[in-house]
Amino acid sequence: MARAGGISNPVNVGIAVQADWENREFISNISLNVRRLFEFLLQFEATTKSKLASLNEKLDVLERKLEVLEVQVSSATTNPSVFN
Amino acid sequence: MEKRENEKLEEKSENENEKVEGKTRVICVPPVGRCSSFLCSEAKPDAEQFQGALRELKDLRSQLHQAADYCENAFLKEEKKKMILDSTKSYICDAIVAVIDHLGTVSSKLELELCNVAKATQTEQKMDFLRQRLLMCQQFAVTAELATFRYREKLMHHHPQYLSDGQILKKYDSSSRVVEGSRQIKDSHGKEKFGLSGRFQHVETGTEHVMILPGQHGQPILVTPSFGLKGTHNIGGDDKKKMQHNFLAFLSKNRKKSR
Repeated sequence: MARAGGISNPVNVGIAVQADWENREFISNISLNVRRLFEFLLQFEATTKSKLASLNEKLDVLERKLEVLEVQVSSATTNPSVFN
Repeated sequence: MEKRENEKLEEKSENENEKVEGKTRVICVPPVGRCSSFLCSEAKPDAEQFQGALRELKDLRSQLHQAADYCENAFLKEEKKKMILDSTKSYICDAIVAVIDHLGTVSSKLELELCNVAKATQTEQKMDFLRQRLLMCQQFAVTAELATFRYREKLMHHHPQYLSDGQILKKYDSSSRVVEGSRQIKDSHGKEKFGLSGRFQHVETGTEHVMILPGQHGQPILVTPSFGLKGTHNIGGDDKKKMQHNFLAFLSKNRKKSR
């Protein structure tokens, strides 16, 4: 009995160690995937920032063009004698 | 597909509950919801779809926090830790898949929003058209003004008062270009007037073109393109009075034009 108990102890220990290793492997896989997710998010943020910045520039240019056009049209309307 | 997966998760949780003895419950965390915006994507516009996907992602975050707290408390309190651990592992796998799914939908919606810049290009085109029309109007106004400016009823006449001798003029310094030429001065009938045939020089001084004609007593006469005489000349003979009279008339005409 004592021997059986002694034999079972290392078996239990082995089983416990194996389970522990499995858990650790699972945890490492999960952490790796979470890091990949994080990297994707960083990359996505960078690309989105650049696209938004370019869009902002386009809109600024359009606004300036619109202001110039407004001034030109207002000057043309205030001086209609030019076209008479 | 999503409904089946949700049902499976529910069944799993129910089975786990049945296995646990006593009053305790293993996992009573609601199953991780999948992204539902895919079903009604055609009906809603792009902006609303993106907002909806973002809202679902935020809800998922709160749900995951609650599930993590519950699993931790259950593991600490309960005795059957292995069962709790296995259920937690499965829940984590499903949660990660759900998170990836939600992130994919959010990123795709945002990219669609950014790629749809047709409105910006349309407004740009409209503004270009307006600018083109304005430029055309301006050009028209400028050409109309130029036409009134250029047109003159009285054209410039060449006066036959040029005098020239056979004398050769002095050469000027290298700063001004001197072009020597010879020409027979003739009247409108093609005859040689006053029997004059001599040489004249065309000098460019700066931006002004000046013609230099030799005078009687060696004095050069400067003549501008407007044919205004800048110097006096002495001519002997019967033609002197005629020339003076013509010269005075010519001067008076030039003064009127300049006014």
